[in-house]
This record gives sequence, structure tokens and C-alpha cells, in this order.
Amino acid sequence: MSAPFSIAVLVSAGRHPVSGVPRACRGDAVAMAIGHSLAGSALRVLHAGTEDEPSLKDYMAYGAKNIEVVPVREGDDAIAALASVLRGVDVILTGCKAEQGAGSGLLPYLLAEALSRPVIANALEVKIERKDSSFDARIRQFLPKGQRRQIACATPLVIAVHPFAPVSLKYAYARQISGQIEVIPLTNPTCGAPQPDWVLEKAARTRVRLKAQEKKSGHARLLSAIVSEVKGGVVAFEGTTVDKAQVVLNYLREHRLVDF
Amino acid sequence: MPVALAITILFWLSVAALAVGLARRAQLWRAGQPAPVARSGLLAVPKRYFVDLHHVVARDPFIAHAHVATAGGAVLALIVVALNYGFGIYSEFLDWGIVLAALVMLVGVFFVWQRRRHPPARLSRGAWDRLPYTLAAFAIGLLIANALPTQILSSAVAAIALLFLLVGSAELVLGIGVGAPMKHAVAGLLHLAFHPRPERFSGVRSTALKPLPLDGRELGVNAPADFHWNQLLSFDACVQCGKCEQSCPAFAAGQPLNPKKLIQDLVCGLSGTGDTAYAGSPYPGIAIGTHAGAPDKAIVPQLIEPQTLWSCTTCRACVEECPMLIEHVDAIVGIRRNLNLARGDVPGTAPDILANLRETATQGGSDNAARYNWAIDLDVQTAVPGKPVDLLLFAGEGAFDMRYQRTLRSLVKILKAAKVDFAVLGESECDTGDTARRLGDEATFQRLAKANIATLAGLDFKRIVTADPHVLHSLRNEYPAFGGNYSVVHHTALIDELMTPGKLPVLEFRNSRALTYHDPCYLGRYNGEFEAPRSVLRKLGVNVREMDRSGPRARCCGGGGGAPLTDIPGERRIPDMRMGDVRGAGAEIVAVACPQCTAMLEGVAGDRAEVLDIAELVASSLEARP
Amino acid sequence: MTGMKRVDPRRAYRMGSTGLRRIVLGESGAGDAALRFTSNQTDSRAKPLRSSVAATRWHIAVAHAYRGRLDDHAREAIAAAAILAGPEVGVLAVILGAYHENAAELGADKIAIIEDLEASRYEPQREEAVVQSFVEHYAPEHIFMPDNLSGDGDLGRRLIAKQKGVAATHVAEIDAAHVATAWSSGPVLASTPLPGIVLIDAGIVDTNLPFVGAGETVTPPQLPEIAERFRDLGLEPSAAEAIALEEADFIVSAGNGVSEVATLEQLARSLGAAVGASRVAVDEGKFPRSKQIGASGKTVSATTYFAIGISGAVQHLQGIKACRHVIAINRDAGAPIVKRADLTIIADAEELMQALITRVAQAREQTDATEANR
Repeated sequence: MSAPFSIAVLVSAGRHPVSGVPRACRGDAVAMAIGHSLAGSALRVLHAGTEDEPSLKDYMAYGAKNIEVVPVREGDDAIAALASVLRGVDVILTGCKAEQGAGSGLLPYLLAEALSRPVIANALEVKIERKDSSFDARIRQFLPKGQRRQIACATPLVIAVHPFAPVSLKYAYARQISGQIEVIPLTNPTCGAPQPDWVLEKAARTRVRLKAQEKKSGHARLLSAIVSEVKGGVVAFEGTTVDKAQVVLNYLREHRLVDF
Repeated sequence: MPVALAITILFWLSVAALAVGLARRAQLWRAGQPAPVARSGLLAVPKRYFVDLHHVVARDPFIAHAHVATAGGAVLALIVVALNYGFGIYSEFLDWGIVLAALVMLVGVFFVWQRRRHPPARLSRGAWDRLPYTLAAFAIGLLIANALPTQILSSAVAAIALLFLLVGSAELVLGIGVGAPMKHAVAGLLHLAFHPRPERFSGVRSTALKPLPLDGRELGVNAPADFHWNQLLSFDACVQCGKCEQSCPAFAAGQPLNPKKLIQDLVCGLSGTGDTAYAGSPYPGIAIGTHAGAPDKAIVPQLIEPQTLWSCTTCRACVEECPMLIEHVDAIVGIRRNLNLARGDVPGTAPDILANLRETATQGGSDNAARYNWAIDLDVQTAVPGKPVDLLLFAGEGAFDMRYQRTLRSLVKILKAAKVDFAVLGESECDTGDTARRLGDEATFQRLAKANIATLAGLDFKRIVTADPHVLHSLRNEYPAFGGNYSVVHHTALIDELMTPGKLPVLEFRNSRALTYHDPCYLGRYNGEFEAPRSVLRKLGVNVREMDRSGPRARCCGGGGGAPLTDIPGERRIPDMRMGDVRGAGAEIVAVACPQCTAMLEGVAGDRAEVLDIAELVASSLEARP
Repeated sequence: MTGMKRVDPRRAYRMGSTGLRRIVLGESGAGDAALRFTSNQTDSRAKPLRSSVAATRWHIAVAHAYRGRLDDHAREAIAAAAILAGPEVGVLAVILGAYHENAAELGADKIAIIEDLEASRYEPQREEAVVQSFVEHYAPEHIFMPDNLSGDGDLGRRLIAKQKGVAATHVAEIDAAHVATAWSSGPVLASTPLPGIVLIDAGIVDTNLPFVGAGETVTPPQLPEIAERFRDLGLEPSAAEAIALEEADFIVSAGNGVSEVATLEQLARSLGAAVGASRVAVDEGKFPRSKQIGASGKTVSATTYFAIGISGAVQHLQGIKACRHVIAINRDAGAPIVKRADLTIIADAEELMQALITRVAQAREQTDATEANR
């Protein structure tokens, strides 16, 4: 299958959140599956990084026959490097969030900005239709609480795919053996845009909630320490059924769980 | 002697027809992959037939006797006919031998006919229904031709006798060539000679799956020709008796699997035909006559639908019952391997579980470091290199199940009470890969197996104990192919051992409620351990009320082979049926010995027997001590 | 005897959600039963102003409102802006969409409500331009936004890409000096100094503030004329009960104790909740397998999990680990679900569901009437 428009998917080095084992980033694999459904083998699969990245094997098992590696090393500007490769590509698919590092979910936005093209995030379904001389993307967008939105936009554009996209990922070991990796020669890597300097902590710990400092008297502090809020584990036995229903409603309203 | 000459001619014609038919059929088997077989197997056929095969057939004495008479009579008659007429001896004395054999055969045929008049649903009809008549024709033809003196044998009667003989011989010798019922005799004997698991004939319960080379050739079985040639041969040995169908839990649950139909479909595949001639029970919910195959054409879905293959719980009840010793589970897993490894086509939640196994070495995507969290307060030592222990506890995936942790804690309590020197494996334990392997993911299984073998190689222990029969099966039977040889013991066997010399101060189980024991497939049929759990229960003073299907014939709980993950819908649920068996035995407690069985049986809705692991029963009797 | 203080049996109390009296310490006077759950409308006049100094620098918090309200996540963004503001720093809350509550109680000194930019419409370029105009006017030190999927996370990232400044998203911990995020989505945090734009995750800020903001309303700027590159083709009609369990925020779940499936579905509809079921209820054929919640079914992360007639087998509890509020209706007070639930009602499931359906319908009517009066 070939497509009249050019299409590429960006795949990142995934890591399992619990074990840290290299794997295909779930969101990126889903984006790749959408790309395959749109363009079949005409889909280009690109990875910004190094060719020895172990998770690339997983993408092959998920169906990437040929992965093009855009050589990006620590400190290089991955966005600029990718932009230089992707300038002529009509549709660029990405996942919503990397699994390794901060996972900011900024890449599709930065890439779209560098290429001066629109970006749509949280896409569940993508259709590409011919419209006059160009192509039109129709996107079904994920919104919380079961809501969905339809958006149309002319190509070229960047689409970040939501991990809930209704595709089934098929992992086949045989494809992992037959897949290939190709490195794209890049002329001049540029220095990266400013990034936050993340300092990794040594061990996991409970997170501290931001709380306003209260100027209280010693007595008030003591009281707040001994009076606890109405918290979990309460059981209501008594009252009529209507009273009990009211208790449930009160709870829902108190915790803003309903909007009436 | 025109009649005698005619018989001689008929005999040699038959021999020629048989030879041509066999050559043709052999050509079909040869489409399969090479397999290492010993020619000496041919010499072993009589023993394998009369001992191993008959051992299975004899479970149904009626048909065993009928078959002994029919087949015995026919074989004897043929041998004598070969001597007397084939080599032209024409001795009248030998004729009486033929008459005797034919009479024996006729008696057998009578019983075959009896069975066929009111056949159980499991039996295939169609061509099989004509067997009593064609075989009777053969016997009667022999009788007339040999018993009546030549003088009174009118030419008309002689012609009738020869016609009967012709019909009977045609049934006997053309079967192998055209794929008619009597092919089972030839293919069956050759199958016994070249069985894919010859060790079964030396008393070994051969249940380990064969390792699959992962070197980029066709992975698993895509088309019938991807089976080993002797597997193709084994499918041809099937007599469509339906013992497998009767024992299959998925079939009983109305899931689209019937082991008999599966084997017959593979026969269609190897011979390039469709299933229109099949006259047995269908796959529940799938119509007969819509499938066809060819040796080089993909099996799924043209010949067999995927949901048929994914319904199997790999419980081996079909293999246990098969009088022709066919290996259904090997065939199913072979095709599953291709679906999984080459196509990535696995239904239900199985792909998620397989991804978890690849990425976390656990089925639930859990943190491996948390595998022994249930033992944190039990003061259990973790095995470390250089510190020898007697016993290593290998918990398996059950360690993450909050229900099964109760069993594991009971087991630890028992080990401590018996002052056993033991340690747990800790966070270096990986899943054994059992589920991955049954689902056809040989790549993940081998990776996990190698990881575990590497871990165990660094530790100093005498034996491994596990409460999970699936772990037991992997470690004991399947790891040796990858260089891991251990002495592995199931917790019930260990507890039995500890109770024998009185190391374990248990009291009698004080509970008046009726108790039955459910044999886990992977402990019983896979590992032959039927006695230890019952022995433990006896020592607790419990009188086990056996279910109808128990021991080697125990019905699966529905939890094996990844079946709960592929979750193929049926009309009933297998655990519900098993709980029905429990109810049928009048038991209020069902003792189990496997985390899968525990989960499946406890998942039965409504009023049901209490599910308790044997370790829990023993531990509670320890508690009762003052 | 005379000098000993005695407990006043009529001292102040409020009704807890269980119907039990909760005594309010440190206050005198008779209890007022009408003081039920008024935390939504806390009397802001009672609290002091956060700062009486004129603002010279600014924090901006931006969030969408839904049906005239801010959700907890959005409220946290404004509260964070206020908590982290020094005395000379002002807090501007830019609220997109109609808003009928008072953001002053979240510490906002200035409130700009842009009613036109409803979350139900997709106009990212206009939203970006509006926020940009505030940014240019106030030159804020920090911008705080909720990192959600309902528009704010998207808008925030567009701003970050435009500004090319240092920013942090998915912030899991924040204080005056730094922000932290879950590194590789794992348990370990990585931190960085508080950057210009901060998109925070839910549940990291306590919105109970001891102070209020000045709450002065700012006239929204003239909306610029922008030709959107996107064509918004509108929201699809969706039914709450059809929502996939994995993404549902409110689940009403049935167990063995539910006899009438229709009542349960009606309750789910009235609460706008998805329907789930325990393994037992699924096995009995009352619900399809896709609705099963638990270790062998689906793992859910709804904010509210309403377990009706579910005893709470461990496998089931494994599937609802991530749920924040668990409410249980059960006949048996000894069932394991009671230990897990934040609120348990001991009652007959059918009767209580009927009562609740009636009560919810009344409450909705009242709310809609109030809404209409505005």
C-alpha cells in the first residue's frame, strides 16, 4: 500500500514504568499502528537517538519494517534535527508523552512550532481525505469523561495520538528478527533550546502537597492536630432510606464529585 | 481349484492395493518436516500395541473386547490367508484356521454392530457406520470360502463368497489410500512405531513441550506441512472414537473446540480436502462443511478458526483418553506458536499479559521486587549465592495474588513448624514463562527460562518446592531442555513427606464438613502426582469424597493454557461445571493445590463449596495445637 | 468540683456525612444543624486578605471553567499561584468560559472571565492570543495551569512552544523553590527550580486556604480576530453509561446484591456515571465481560467509585486501588468493602438506589433552577 501523501511517525525509547525495561513506548506504538492503517508500508518510522537503542526491536515486532534513526546525542537539539528531516512530510504522527525522563509531552508542540504548522493532540482516530489539490486531516479527539470532538485541519500538520486510540497492537517476534535499522546522515547538529535542568532524586518518597502556611496560635495548631476531618471508613447504619440517600448525596457534594 | 486361485489373486491384488495406497498416503506425510525417529520403533510395535495402547482402550471393556475379537480375528485370518493362499500351500488344515479366525472376527463384528446401533454422541457416523457390514462381509466371505467343502460349493455360492471377500478386502486395504476408516489400522501401527514422544512407551509421562528453534525459519505451524511428518501420520491414526471430545472441558462448556474435529480438520489439511464428509460432533457453534485446507495453505482461518485454538486449556484430558495416543496439545500449541510469533494475533487480554511478561517478568506488570512482600513479616530468609539451603521456595505468579498469598503463608508456616531449612528466591525470581509458552510465545518463555536458570545456577540448594503446579511443570519438565536440571517437589508432596516421619506435629482436621479434592491438571496428568495430596488429606483424618471425574480423568478448572486470558465465550463456564462436580460429590469443601484452580473455583458465583488449599488445611490443623 | 470545666452537651457541632454529630472545638454556642456541608460556599469574608500591599509583580493562573465552575484540578492551579506569591506579588486568574463562583477564595486578586472561550469549543489559536495578551500586559513571573486533557494541558503546551522558555509539565510536587515530576513515570521524582510556566498534575495543592484574594474583576480584552487553522466540527453526543471503564471518572458498579440491573443503570444515568460490575455479577450474566472490574477484569482509576451490593473480594479491591472516593452500599457491615470504602451505607441496595435516584433528580432540578435564575 502506498499513500499519495507523505506520512511519518516518531518513535521514542520507551521504558516500562515499573521495571524500567526497554520497550516500545505504548503511545508511540499506537501512533505507529494508526500510521500503518493510513498508509501501510509507506509510513516512515523515525527515531531521534542512537541506532543501538534496545527498544527499537520492539517497534519492529509491532510492525516497523525499517526504522530510520536521526542521530541525536545528549545535548543536541532533537527538535531541530527532526525538523530538518521532516520538513517535506505532510503528516507527522507522535505519541502524547515519552516514557523516559520527564515525559513532558512537549515534543509535538515544539516540532510543530519549528515547522510552523498546526498541531492537534490527543487524537483517537485519524482520516486523511483529498481536498482539491491538498489533503485534509479529520481527527477524532479524546476529551475526558467520555467526550469526543471532531476536528478538521489541512495538511501539513503534526498529530499527537492519545494512547486510548482504538487500535490493536500486534506483537510478532518474527518481525523483530526481520526488521532493519537505517541511520540518516545529518550534517550539523545544533545546540538544544533551553530545557529544565532536572535533578533526579535518589529514592522514591511520598510527595509533599503544597499547603498554605497558616498563622495560627499554638492553641489553634493543637486543635487542628487533634481534630481530624471526617475521613474514610465511616459507616451509616441508621435512619430511613431517604436519610441514607441524603448522606450519599451530601458526601458527593462535599467532595465536589457531582456538579449539582 | 478356481476358488482358491481366486482368493490367491484377490490376496495379491489386495497386497498391491495396500502398497500403492500406503505409498500415496506416505507421500502426504512426507510433506511434513523431518523428525528424528528410530527405525527400531517398528520392532516395538507389538509391545506398544498390546500394552500401551490396549491399556487405554481397556478402560472401556466392551469396546476393548469387541476390538480384540474383530482386529485379532482379522489379523489372524489375514496371516493364515497369506500363508495358505498367498504362498499357494492350499492346506485344508490351514483353512480351518481361517474359519476359526473368521468366526472370532464375526463375533467381534457383532459387538461392533451392537455399539453402532445405539452409538454414544461422541462416535463419528458416516463411513464408520458401514464398518460392521463390510467387516462382516469379509468374515462371512472367508467362512463360506473355507468352511464349505469344495464339492458342495456351487459356483453361485462361490461367486457370492468371493464378492463378500472383495467388499471386505476393499474396506480393509483401500482405506489407507483413500482415507477411509480402515486407514487407522495402517497409520495407527506406523504411528506407534514413529510416535513423536516415544518415551511414553517406557512409562514416562512425557508432557513437556518441545523447544522451538527461534532462528527465523517458519516459527511454529502455519500450514499442515509445517508439522513434523510423524505428527501428520499421528493425525491419520485417529479412529474418531470421540473419547477426547467427551473429556474436553472446553467442548463441554460449549466453547468452539472439539479435539476430535480438530484432528480430523488437520487430516483434511494434510490430504487437501474439506470437512464435508466429517460425520461427528462439530465445534460447538461452528457449522460443518465450511472449512477446507491443503498441505501448504495456512491453517488459520481457512481450515481451523482461531477461537477453536484459543479455547484449549492444555489440560491434556484428550491426550490422556486417546486410545491412539495422539498428541492434541502439541498440535494446538504448534499452531498457536505461529499465530503468536509470526502474526502477533492473540485474543483477549493475552497480549497485555505477554507484554507484561516481556517487560516486567511478571504477568500482572507488577514490580518483581514485590514478589515476596507477603512474606515480609514472616522472617523468611532470601537465598543468596554462597549460602547453602536445603530447600528453595519458588512462589510463581500466585505471589502477587492476595488470595493465594494466604496459601503461601500457610506453606511457610508448615515449613517452619517442620524446621525445614529453606529460603525464598526473592526479587531475582522471574515468571517461569509457563503461560507464555502455552499461549505460543516461545520467545518469551525461552528468555524467562534462561533468566531463571542463570539465577538458580548461582544458588546452592538441594531441592525446589513450589505451590504452583505450573511452576513445577516448567521447572521439572521443561527447563532441562535449556540446561536447568533440578529436583523439584510440589508442596503437597513435600508436606506428605514431612508428615510421614512425624516431623510435622499436625492434629486431625476438626471439621465435619464433607471434603473433596480437585486434581490440578498440571500436577496430575502433567506430573502424575495423584497420591500425595490424598495421602496428606488421609493423614489429616479427612475422608475424601471423590468426584466422578477425578485422578487422571479430573476435569480442568478452566484456568490452564492461558484460557482465562483469551477468554473465548461458550455457553457455560468451565469452573461452574467443575463446581457442579463438587456439588455432585456432596462436598462442602473442595481442597485444591494450585493458584489457578483456586482463583477459577473461587470465581464461581452463587452458593458454592469453600475452596481451600491443602497447605491451608494443614496449617489450620497446626494452629489447633495448644 | 466547682472549678472543673464540664462538657457542654449543647455545644457547637456540624453534621458529618454519616449523619453523626461532629463537635466543633473552640467555638461556643448552640449547634446549628443547618450548617451542613457548606464548604462549597465557605464564607470568604471570615478570612483575611492574603496581602494588603499593592502588587508590583504578577502570577497568572489560567484554566477552563465547566458549567460555570472550576474543577478541583483548576482550583489547585489558582491556589498554587496564590500560595507561592509573595506579599508584593498579585494573582491574576484568567478563567476561560462562563464562571459563577468566586475565585477570590482561591486567592485570586484579579479575575478575568472570558465567557466566549467555552471549553466545549476548540479554538486554540484564539485562546493562545488571549492568554498572550495578558502575558504581555502583566509580564508574569510564573504562569500556573492544570495539566489536564480538557484543554488546559494543550493550551499550556502551545504557550510553552511559543515562548521557548523553560517550563515544567506534569508537575507532581511544587513549592516556592522548585517543582518535581515523576521521572520516567516511576516512583522517583526529579526536580528543577520553579520555571516560568508550570503545568501541574491533579492532587498536589491543598485548595483550603486560610486567606482570600482581592477578587477584583478585570474586563477581558477585546478578542482578536483570528482565522483558526482548525475547523471545529463539534462534540459528539455521548452517553455516560457507554464510557469505557478505563476513562470513566465516576463509576457505579454492581455486585451480587443488585437484583434489578435496570435500577442500577438508571442510577448511573442520573449521576452521569459509567456502569461496572463485579466478577460475580458478570458471571451471572447480568453484565458483559467488558464491564468486569477487578484483578481478572479491568483496573479502573475513577475519582468516584460507587460499589453497590459488592462484598469486595480481594481481587475486586485490586482493581479499584486507584479510586479516590469509594462509596459502598451493602447489607452486611462485615463485608471487606466496608474497610476500603470512605463511606458505607448499610441498606438494601434496591431501596437505596430508588431513593437516591429520586433525591438526585430533585437536587438536579434545584441546581438547574438556580442556574436559570442567573
